[in-house]
Amino acid sequence: MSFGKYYTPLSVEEAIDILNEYEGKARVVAGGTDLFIEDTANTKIDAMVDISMIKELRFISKEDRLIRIGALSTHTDIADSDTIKNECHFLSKAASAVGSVQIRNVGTVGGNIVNAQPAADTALALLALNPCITIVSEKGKRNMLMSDSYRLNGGSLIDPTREILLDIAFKSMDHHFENGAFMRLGKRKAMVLPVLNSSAYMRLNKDKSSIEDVRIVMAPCSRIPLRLRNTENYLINGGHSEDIFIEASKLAMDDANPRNSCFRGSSSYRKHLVGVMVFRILNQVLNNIVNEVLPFNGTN
Amino acid sequence: MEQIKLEFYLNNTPISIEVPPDFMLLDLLREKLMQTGTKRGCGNGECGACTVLIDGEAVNSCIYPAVKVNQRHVLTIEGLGKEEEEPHPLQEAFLEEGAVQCGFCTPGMILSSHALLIKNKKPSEEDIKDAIAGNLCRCTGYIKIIKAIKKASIATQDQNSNGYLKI
Amino acid sequence: MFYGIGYTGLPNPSGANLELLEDGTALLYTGCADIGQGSDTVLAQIVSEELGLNFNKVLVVSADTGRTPNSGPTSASRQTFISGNAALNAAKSIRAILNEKASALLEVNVGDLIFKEEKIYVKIDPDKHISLLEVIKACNQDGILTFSTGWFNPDTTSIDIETGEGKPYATYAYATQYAEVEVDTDTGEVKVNKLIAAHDVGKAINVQLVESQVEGGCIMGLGYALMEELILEKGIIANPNFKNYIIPTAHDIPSIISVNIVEDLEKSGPFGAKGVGEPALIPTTPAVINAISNALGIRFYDCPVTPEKIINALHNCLD
Repeated sequence: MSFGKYYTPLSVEEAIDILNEYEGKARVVAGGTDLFIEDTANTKIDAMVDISMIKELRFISKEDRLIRIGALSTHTDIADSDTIKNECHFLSKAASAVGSVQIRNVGTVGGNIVNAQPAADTALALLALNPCITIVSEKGKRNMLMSDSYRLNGGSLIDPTREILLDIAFKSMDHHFENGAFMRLGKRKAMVLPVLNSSAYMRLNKDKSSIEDVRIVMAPCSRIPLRLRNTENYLINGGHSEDIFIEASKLAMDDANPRNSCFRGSSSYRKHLVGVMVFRILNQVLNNIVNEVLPFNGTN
Repeated sequence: MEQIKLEFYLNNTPISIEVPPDFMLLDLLREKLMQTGTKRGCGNGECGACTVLIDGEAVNSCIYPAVKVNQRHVLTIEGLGKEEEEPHPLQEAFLEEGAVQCGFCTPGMILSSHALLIKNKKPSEEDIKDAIAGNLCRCTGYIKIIKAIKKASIATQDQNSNGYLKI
Repeated sequence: MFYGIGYTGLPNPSGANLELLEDGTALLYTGCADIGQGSDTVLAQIVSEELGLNFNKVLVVSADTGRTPNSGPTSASRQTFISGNAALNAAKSIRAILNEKASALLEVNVGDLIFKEEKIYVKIDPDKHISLLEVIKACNQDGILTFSTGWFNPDTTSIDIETGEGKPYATYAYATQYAEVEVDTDTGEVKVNKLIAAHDVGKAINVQLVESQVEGGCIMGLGYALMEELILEKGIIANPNFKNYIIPTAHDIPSIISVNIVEDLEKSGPFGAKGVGEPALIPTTPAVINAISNALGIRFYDCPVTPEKIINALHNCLD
């Protein structure tokens, strides 16, 4: 990527002013780990607006039952955060799975969301928590569900030439009835684009006999992280026996329907993996709820 | 193209320099500051040969814009230890354990290890593997590298991290 | 596995120049390129062993076309064997010069002397000795330079066109490797838990360097077995980068890896040494793939054995 100017504003207002000045010919950057790579080598931009100096955007907080993550939080911040480990350990696990230490130290959750790579680990885990995101532009602030921020045919609805993602917020879970999980399959154990990534959230009813709510996110099987809605609908208000999970995993294979990929594998193989992964992740979330699994210990 | 003025610390030495806006830190180190210890392996953040520490944290300098280091502390391999008279315990351990073969991954590998030991004085084998998972090596198979880091972690347990690092 | 050391049926000589200076420093000039495998160290060890010098007294000037003789390439697992012999031959020539002078000074027969710890001792009467420095000085005073060259070419023949017979290599390295794996039969993922390697290197001139070669070769072989695949689309490489051509990281190594050095001395090798560069890598891939076959009862004939190939093979079996 080549650019003629590089700004480092110290406030959101200053950043928005610069973006407006360039009328769409400048763009926001934070860590830049998705931008300064060979895939974008031929891209020319007039100016970069580096928001990583805006300290108010790098935080992780819990107030009452609301957990908020500033968009400039790095994957390392999220992976190491005691709040995240205690409240939603699978998000810590997902953030730990991103790239390498070098990438995690620099890459931000905001970048993960706005660059909208389908299998972005941290973003995928967040989607299971169904968060709300806050975006600001010269028109002011707006909120939307994170899941609504993806374009159907790929990319984000957030315009990095005009808008800045501020934070991501979600309700904390009651670990007696709710929990989540994250899983990843790759061609080697670390630092690799996933063959398949999945995150899931589940809420059981008060006597833990049935599933009140479930969210299953799978990637990459389309241009954006995919919610397996048919599979979710099948599971809601049903039990959580092994037979039910087997049936769910079969439905998931059609729900996901991944294509042939040169690097990730054939459609039939990936479909098979979807089934395996859904079965395993449902069991893991259930196990996490039943055993009230809390802080991320590096393997759970 | 307009140049941007940059002021930062390189291995504890204040540097004031002008760079083009789209210069990456690796280019600044190797081409302008002649610090060629940091290597270009892939230019894409995939191999870790370009690893340096910024305020004590490991980053891939090949995809890190130079202008981002303004007012910060950058540590390269040249800043670790005092050449042959006083090598850093990591450098000593790498030599003693045979963890260096062609040497191309070594500067990045040592810096990733240093970042680990700053944060975690008693790393487990898993912690060590995590810390260097982003540093590819073809020669050694990582086995003696892991041994060397363990050895250095014991040697440095009582030391403070380098005093000048702003974390 | 057995693997020939050196070029196949073709000459590949190596030369070395060696100068022993009056302060007891030995300067070895070799064309042998040390690319990290440690040949500078090994050649210095060979010279220091032969002349009884402290290892630190041997300075190696290597791979400088302006100053060093031709030693052939660092490839074909050949340098310890061939350049090692060249250096050894140069050292032997200097030893002969020193031997003759020392035997005269000590008034013993030429065959009665040993070189150790920078001294030349009479074998049957170690109290009778003379320092290396004194002998060098005595040579110089007589106008004799303690300087020599050495070279070596392995004893091979080219192939007989009629019969297909011949001697392609002067010596062979032998190895056996053993792999233990775990296969996830739902995802096809393979975990290599244990790798045990036993390598006959003739003589390990430097144990740590031999281990390093074997360890590096094993992990490379593991990568070849499980994850490294050059993907071509209409003749163009689709993955010319580390993102999609995947090699093992520190997280992919087995939890147990054991290197066992076997020394079956090679008569024609320097102190019995052969080679290990390529032998380190070759057995691992078949060991890992054979282990997968053993686990699943299915044979695989090409690599990498990716998770997808395993799942397809399992599904084909069920059909």
